[in-house]
Amino acid sequence: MDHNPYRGLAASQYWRSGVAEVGPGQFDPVTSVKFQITSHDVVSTLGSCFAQHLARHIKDSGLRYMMTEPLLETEEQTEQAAMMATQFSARYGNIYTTRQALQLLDRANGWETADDVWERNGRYFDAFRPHVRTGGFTTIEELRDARVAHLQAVKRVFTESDVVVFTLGLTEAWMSTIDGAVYPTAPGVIAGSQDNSRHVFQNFSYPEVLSDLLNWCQRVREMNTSVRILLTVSPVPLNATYVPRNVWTSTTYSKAVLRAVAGDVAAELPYVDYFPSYEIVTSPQAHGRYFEDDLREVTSVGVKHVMRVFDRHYVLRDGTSDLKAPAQVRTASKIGDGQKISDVFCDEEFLD
Amino acid sequence: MIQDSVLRIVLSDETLRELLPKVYIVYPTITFSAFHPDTQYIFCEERVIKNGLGSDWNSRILVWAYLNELTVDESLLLFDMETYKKLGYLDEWSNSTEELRRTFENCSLDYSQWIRGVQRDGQFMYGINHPMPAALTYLARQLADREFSSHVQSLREPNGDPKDYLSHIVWPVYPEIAEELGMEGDYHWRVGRKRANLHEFAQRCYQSWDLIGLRNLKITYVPDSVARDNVVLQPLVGRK
Repeated sequence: MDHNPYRGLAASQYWRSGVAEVGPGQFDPVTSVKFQITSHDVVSTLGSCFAQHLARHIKDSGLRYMMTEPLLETEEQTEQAAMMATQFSARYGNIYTTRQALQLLDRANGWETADDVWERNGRYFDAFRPHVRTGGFTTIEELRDARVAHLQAVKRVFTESDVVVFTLGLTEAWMSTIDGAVYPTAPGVIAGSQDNSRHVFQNFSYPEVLSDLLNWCQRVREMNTSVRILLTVSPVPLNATYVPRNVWTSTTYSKAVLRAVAGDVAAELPYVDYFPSYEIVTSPQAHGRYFEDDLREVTSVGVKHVMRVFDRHYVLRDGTSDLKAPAQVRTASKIGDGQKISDVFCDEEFLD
Repeated sequence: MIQDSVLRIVLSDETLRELLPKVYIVYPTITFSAFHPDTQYIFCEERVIKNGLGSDWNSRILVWAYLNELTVDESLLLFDMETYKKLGYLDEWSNSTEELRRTFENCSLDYSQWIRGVQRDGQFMYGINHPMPAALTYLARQLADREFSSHVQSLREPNGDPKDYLSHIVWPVYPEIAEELGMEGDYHWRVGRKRANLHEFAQRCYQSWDLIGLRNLKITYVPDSVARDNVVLQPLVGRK
């Protein structure tokens, strides 16, 4: 008798039963997980803007979200400052590329970069986190002092977390020609000025991203031998591309590279897993409804779908903890009111 | 053409049965409660009891709250995810799918093809048995393809949707349920020109039921969920 290897597979392995005929809001591409998060685990996040949704959800779930640089009473009490302090495990802001993440470890371990302060209207901005202080720092000394404390906090993020969630966002970046330092945004967008002799554009290739991410995961693991890492890819398209081609073509390149690398790294390292945020939001099953009218921002309903799947598979509720059931979790204050979630902080928004 | 639910009535009556033509096409009655699982009919001596806006659909939670003498404000506290989950409202997609698939199959129609089409726009029902135009269009296309395959071109026109006579009554998809279905919801009822938010709807239902003395009437329910509602809702009262 003929043997058809595609007969009798799990329902999720067929397009019809795994995607096309799944009820709205019910699409769940996770089939297995390497680990689960309990109420005892300390969880930290970093990555692109979409990482902030995960950060908020983790906090709202009652999980132990790591915040190493909370907002002090003595600091400016602006919305921007509060977001920096509470939606990032340390105040590093958006980490869009794997090279940026790798260099964050380097800088936390003492690497001093050459071109790291940008000026605008007499105020000074940290080139690696230009939104950390509303309107910039008054003096360079103040900026550097804040950075020293920040980089100590960064070390804590990686040495004290049980789980680190890294949301991969972009492959395009601007870097220093002097020492290769990668910035979260182009010089001149928020502060400073783009100068061809000092800055160069780079669109990282698959081998580069793979090498950077493998290296990053291994180094985090060396800093913390029991840490587990969850990788995911942001479904948010590029706001602008510097490559002279359509921004959608650049988006598909970027996301394809990041998705492939994340999968390959998770396949290689036993302590790394891949969570498909990207697939949930961009699946044809969502019929495009998980994007706002600008076709870029993710709707609150889309974010909630991602979090529901995250909760279902990765959060272990043993019945004795304070973890809230998914139904009780409100990811953001605006969710459910039919409004978009705009309260995430994105350097990339300033590109157009 | 005859609707399957009407055909059942016709076939059960000898006089009516004789009126049936020799050749007829049966098409399915579209009933799908996943978007509106809180909908319930209540009857007194075979007369339907209206809601506060004057239509036939009632809120199962609200009816239970009224009959158990909760105040309007107390009743509103029951409208949340915990209640919906415990009442099984989130399981309605698979229940509705199974039932409607059977109905389509009994009419020799392809449910999978139909649901794939109607799901494109998200919500496709105004209420449990009031399909939106897209749901009827996809059904009509499939029937036309099957019965008159050489004459279906006009049905493919993008603006060829049937005139909509069902949108005068809109039952909201509650936000908590909508979220599970990957869409946005609200608590806004509409019957003709009458509109109400949840609080107003509850108030008007209570007033309307006070007028007819609903608590003193012998009533029947479709679906009959009283036993489950008592078990689920009673413990929630006072806890919220």
